[in-house]
Amino acid sequence: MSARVMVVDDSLMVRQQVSRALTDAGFAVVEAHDGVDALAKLAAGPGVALVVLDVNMPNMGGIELLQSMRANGDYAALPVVMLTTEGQPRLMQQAKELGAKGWIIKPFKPELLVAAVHKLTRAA
Amino acid sequence: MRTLAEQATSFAEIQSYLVTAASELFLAYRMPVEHSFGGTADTRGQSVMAVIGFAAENVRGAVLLLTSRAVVDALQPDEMRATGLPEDVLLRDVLGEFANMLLGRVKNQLAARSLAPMVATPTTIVGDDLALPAPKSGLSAWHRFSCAPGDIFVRLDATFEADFALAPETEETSSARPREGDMILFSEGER
Repeated sequence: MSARVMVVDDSLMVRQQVSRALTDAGFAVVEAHDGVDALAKLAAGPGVALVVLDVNMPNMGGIELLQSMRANGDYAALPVVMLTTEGQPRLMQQAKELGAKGWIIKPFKPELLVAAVHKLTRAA
Repeated sequence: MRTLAEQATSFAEIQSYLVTAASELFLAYRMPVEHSFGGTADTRGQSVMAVIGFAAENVRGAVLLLTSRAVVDALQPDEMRATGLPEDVLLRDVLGEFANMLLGRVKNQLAARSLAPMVATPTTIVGDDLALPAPKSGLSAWHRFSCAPGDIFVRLDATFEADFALAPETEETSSARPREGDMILFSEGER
């Protein structure tokens, strides 16, 4: 059975591009348009093996979602890869301290993203 | 206090980052562009616009993208056409994400000058005959990026506090500057 990956981004364009890259590589994908939507879908859906997460989003951004996930026992250890236009060391450090596994700066290279998702879902 | 001439110099430097960022971004989406100065405060026909605000301790402003439906349609990845969503929704989303990526690239260049503004999420609109008057304060400049399907206009607005100055770029800040497409795996310390 293919691993399930959640893609959280307020941009439909990015969600579509990431979903295409991951489904072509054999992953099942669930999309969420912000942190609030992601939390609802994590609670409602079957097991997600990894989250690909944007930083700047309305309602609840990526860092806030990461904080909420780490405070929730069910998702505390869920691997997260940040995918964002942001490259600020302060934000990267914050994500790292919250247990994010990686940071990719948009626009992303599909083959790199897929390789990271393969590696992290196998390690989980 | 910094002089207006010094603020104008900083504004020009940020504009040069914007031009580099826009040229590289559109090329990354297989749309080579030719840059020239100038733009328009009034459009004719249907246009798509996206604007994102930014703010740091001593500077604030916005980046605005304005173009035709045909240009945004050409930038639209194929995956989006199969979604079945209304075309206006797709066009607004695409230009909003380009505005986001453009400002992100400018931010990444500004990081080498020790400036790290916070960025808002994009606001987008599709409409006829959009009027875009210049802001009432601060500095504002239009840039035109010409490509096969048409022109993409980018406006940079910025208001500087009296003590604003871009820090000099050093070898250390330059090497630490994040690059688009970079992937860092924290667990392995890879880059």
